[in-house]
Amino acid sequence: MTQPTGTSAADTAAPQATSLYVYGVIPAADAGGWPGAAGVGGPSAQVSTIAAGELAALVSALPPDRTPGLREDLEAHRQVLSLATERGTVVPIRFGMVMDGEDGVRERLLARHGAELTELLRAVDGQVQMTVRGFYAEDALMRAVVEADPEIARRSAEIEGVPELESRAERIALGELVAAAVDTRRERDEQALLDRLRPFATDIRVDPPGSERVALNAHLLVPRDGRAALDEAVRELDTALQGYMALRYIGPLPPYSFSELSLEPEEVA
Amino acid sequence: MAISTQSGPSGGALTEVLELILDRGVVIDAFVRVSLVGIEVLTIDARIVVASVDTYLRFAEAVGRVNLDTRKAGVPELVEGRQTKAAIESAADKYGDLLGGILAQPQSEPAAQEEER
Repeated sequence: MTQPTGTSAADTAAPQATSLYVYGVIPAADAGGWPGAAGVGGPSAQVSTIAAGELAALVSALPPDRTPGLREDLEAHRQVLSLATERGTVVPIRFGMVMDGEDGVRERLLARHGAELTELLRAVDGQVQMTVRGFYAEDALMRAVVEADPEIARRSAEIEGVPELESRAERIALGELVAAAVDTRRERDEQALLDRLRPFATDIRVDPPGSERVALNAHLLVPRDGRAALDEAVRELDTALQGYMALRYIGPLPPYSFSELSLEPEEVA
Repeated sequence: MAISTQSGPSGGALTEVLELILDRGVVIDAFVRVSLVGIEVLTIDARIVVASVDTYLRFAEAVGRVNLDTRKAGVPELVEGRQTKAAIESAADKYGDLLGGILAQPQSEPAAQEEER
């Protein structure tokens, strides 16, 4: 049970501890489905599992002198976790985590942090992350702001055709007014969208917009059998918002946004 | 709509989940967090929108552009700081009514804020 089910990690680890790239933690009961995937470092880095108690870690041997950080490494990380999500429940570990050898993974990750990881696995069991992002259509936000506030339209018309140097103060004042209106509208739209999505989720995380065009960046934890209802709701929203906002609906994803766990803060070291 | 659940590999394209892969998930200090080499981290760093003079000028510019478009599209003139009925109606047709059913209306907010004070 504590032996890796794959061959690659075991073989290369034979004489001395090998660096192991760690993707995530799954229930040990699900470990049978692995290996069968190439990990970070190419085809030679087959993903295998290391189990301890009821937990198993998804790992692959990291070739010496190989520092993960290339685009293809990110893609491999994503693919392994995506596959794990297809096969069952996984708690994803952040990109770029490398441990020294199987014993390290078993003792310092699975055994020492068994309680927290088990609790996380239970919280996301049978569920997936669905990410919904809303982007304002080109100019739609500005148009809505102008149309909602005659004062903005009036001031904008006033400086129209006036050289920027001669109307700088007016332009800044107008821009400030617009910025405030944009903030208000964005927050309102975000809340309205969240209200529509909330009934379908067991949990929600909302990330900051990241750019002015982003109205919503929300992550929903959704039961697998509740997907269809959410799909339909998002589709309806998207249709209704056409011309004003475009939705991106991404998933099913591993529960990235619901795996916030920082074990042994780095300050200890 | 762009739905990436049915098409493409499950889990969404890399660019769409980059932030999640880099910023989310369990962190453990026993690990060596390796550095990122040669990937675009611009999307990560562009996270915070800072209000600045440049932003204001850009907003003024953008709002002027759509304002001009609206008026060119047959809206006569602005009368004493208020848009004509036609302009308001065209706006309502396009977004107002549409959003009324979907998103809360902003017009009702000032009253509510007054009450809170």
